[in-house]
Amino acid sequence: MSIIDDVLAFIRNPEAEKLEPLAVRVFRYQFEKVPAYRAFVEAQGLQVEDVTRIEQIPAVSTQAFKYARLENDDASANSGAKIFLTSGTTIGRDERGRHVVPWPAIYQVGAIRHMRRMLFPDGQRLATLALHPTADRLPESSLSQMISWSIDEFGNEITCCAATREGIDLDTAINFLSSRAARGELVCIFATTAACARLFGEMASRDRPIALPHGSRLMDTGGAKGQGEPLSSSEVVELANRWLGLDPAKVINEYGMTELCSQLYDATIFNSDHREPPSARVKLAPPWLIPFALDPATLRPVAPGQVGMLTFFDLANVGSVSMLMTEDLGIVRDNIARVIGRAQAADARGCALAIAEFAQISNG
Amino acid sequence: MDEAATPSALRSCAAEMRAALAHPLEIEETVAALAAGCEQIASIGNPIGAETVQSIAHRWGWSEEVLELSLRALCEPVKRPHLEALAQRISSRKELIAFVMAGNIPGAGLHEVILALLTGHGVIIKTASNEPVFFRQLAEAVRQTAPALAARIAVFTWERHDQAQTSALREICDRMVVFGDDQTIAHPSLAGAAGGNGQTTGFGSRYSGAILTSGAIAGSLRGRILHPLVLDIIAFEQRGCLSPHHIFVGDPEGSVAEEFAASLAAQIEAYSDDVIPPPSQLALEDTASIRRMRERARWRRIGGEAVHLWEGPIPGWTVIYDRDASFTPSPGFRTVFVSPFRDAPDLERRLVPVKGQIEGMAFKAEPTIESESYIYSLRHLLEQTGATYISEPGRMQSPSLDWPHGGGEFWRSLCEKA
Repeated sequence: MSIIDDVLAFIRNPEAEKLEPLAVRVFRYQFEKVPAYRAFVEAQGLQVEDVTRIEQIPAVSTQAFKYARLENDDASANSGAKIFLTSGTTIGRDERGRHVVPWPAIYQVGAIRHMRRMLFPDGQRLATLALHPTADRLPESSLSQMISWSIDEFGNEITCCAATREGIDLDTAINFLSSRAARGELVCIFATTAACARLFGEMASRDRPIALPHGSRLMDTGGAKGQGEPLSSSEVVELANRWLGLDPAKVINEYGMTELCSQLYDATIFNSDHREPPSARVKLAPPWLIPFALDPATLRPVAPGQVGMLTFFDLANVGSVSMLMTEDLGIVRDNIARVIGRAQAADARGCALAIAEFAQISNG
Repeated sequence: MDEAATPSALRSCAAEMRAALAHPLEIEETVAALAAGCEQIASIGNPIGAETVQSIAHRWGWSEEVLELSLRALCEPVKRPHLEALAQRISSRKELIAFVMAGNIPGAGLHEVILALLTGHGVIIKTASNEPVFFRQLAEAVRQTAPALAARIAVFTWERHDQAQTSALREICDRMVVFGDDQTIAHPSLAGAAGGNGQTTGFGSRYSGAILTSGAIAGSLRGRILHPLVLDIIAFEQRGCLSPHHIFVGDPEGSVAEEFAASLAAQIEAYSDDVIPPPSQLALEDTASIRRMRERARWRRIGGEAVHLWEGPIPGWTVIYDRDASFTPSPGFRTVFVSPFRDAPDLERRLVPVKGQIEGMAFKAEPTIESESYIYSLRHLLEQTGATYISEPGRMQSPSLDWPHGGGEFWRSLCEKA
């Protein structure tokens, strides 16, 4: 079997003892097939044969996808390869990362399997509302692709996409939700957190809550991206309950990124034994996605429970680079991650600390 | 004066200070005490200076060497002749000024405190909770020389959540001087003092850099520039508004600037390894910011861009040559960018991201090699950026006492004739 087949087999039937040997094989494969990664590893002075454990695999910053072609030599032979672009929110230059996924089937199988566990553990098929363009409208978006696969897999015949490349049609979205509520039909909403903020803002201005049937649910993703004053995860839960009547346990935040084929989701009583309040939720990874928190100075894992830079080894990324260091800070314990937030960019050095202290006083 | 920071203590302090302000103080005594106080605090051979450096080093994990370098540079202009010259230009006032100090570097705001005392004001200093040492030590040094002047200085520290103290400070003072970032400088919590003219002066976020012509770094001149420039970078671990973030080298081709970056990296490494050690550890966010800068540079180079990264351990140092970059803010802690510029218009374009936010610029050209008109065009450009301080390399952390910090509003308000 090829390494691609082995990865797919693992995702379909994870066996813990097979993970590390397979991960090391994937690393060696990527070293051989991805020239930019090979250049990076060689510049570290690392001998490939010395890497025998997952945590020894050199991590590539997610920024790398903006500047280098982290593409597999084998990808060009595969006409089914997909190219996803990041949303390009980097401050300053207009930089969009580019992730070539040579074997989208691996991405699809992994995404669907973990989504089934985290968002559809009850086996329901629901009406679906997308507040982000689906893949036919925004093919370069990995989120769009994932939403389309999810609608196909978990939706019933009633579906609505209320977003285009140009924006969100809030009237359409609210009318769809009202209709489903009136008919007692369960709904699953797929949205960015920014889209949720717009939807809740519009509903607040109309002051007309919609009571979706119990069992309806919301997946939001993207965090602060695209929001002037971002909603916190607990605010999303609270507002979804207030305006849509959603059970807090069924408001589930997804953590993912274009550069990573696998995702993590909020653990709630709906999909696990976790009962943390919305402000302290943890995220669960699938068995083929291993989270680490790295010390940004040494790039070695910090002690369990300590804050570090969130880093992931993702078998589903076999077609590009699997060990990715994000720009987010977080805590990892027993393969469970808690996202703390993004490390702040360098700012002007004046005399900033004291004023910030006082501003916080005023903000209570 | 140094006591527990309660609202009633602040009010008592203000009453005592206003009484002290009623007693005349000879300007010669003030000049002598301020010069002596700064000399003590800047010298580790003096018990107060040694204690200051050791205490801050212990709290922050910075090396004593970097603190000695930094405080010496900061206090260097506070000399008797300079104070005497400044005293000729000002007239005495008797207001009570509150200073809300920052915690990014020790001693930030010294120029303004000196000016306030020299002009006859009383000062109540609220230190940042993470750096309560410097001004307390300065007050003690002044007390040993001139108790009457020390009666016009009070230093308090309280935590961010102690809002009652902040309100009390606003009530008791005639004006407030606040050091902070631009977004929050107009925040309601920092509204003007209740007394006097109700004015608040803010010193917001600012950047600094350096402009070097190719002539200034040609041949043996390069070595002479590197030493002072590296000290500018290392002082205060690049946390102050006068610390250079980005160095631009006049060089149409780019190769001179890249070679200079390599030399700069070697020099910073040498200093960091042997002479002026970096901090023993950094806050996680600072480390993460440095890591992010490094990874961005590393991958841009792998991607074929004209970028070169030199790096030491973290905490340590980082030099990034970036041929096409505009002014790039540094995360500090010896992280510096180097880029070439073709001519004055190109340099102007590269400074656009920090337009209106430049505090200081080191500038060095070589008039024996370069034309007067070229040098003039660059100097004129720097003056047009709004930089309040243009200096030779090696002098960036030592602006004179009449430095119009933040645009000069505070300086003018104290120095205009009463």
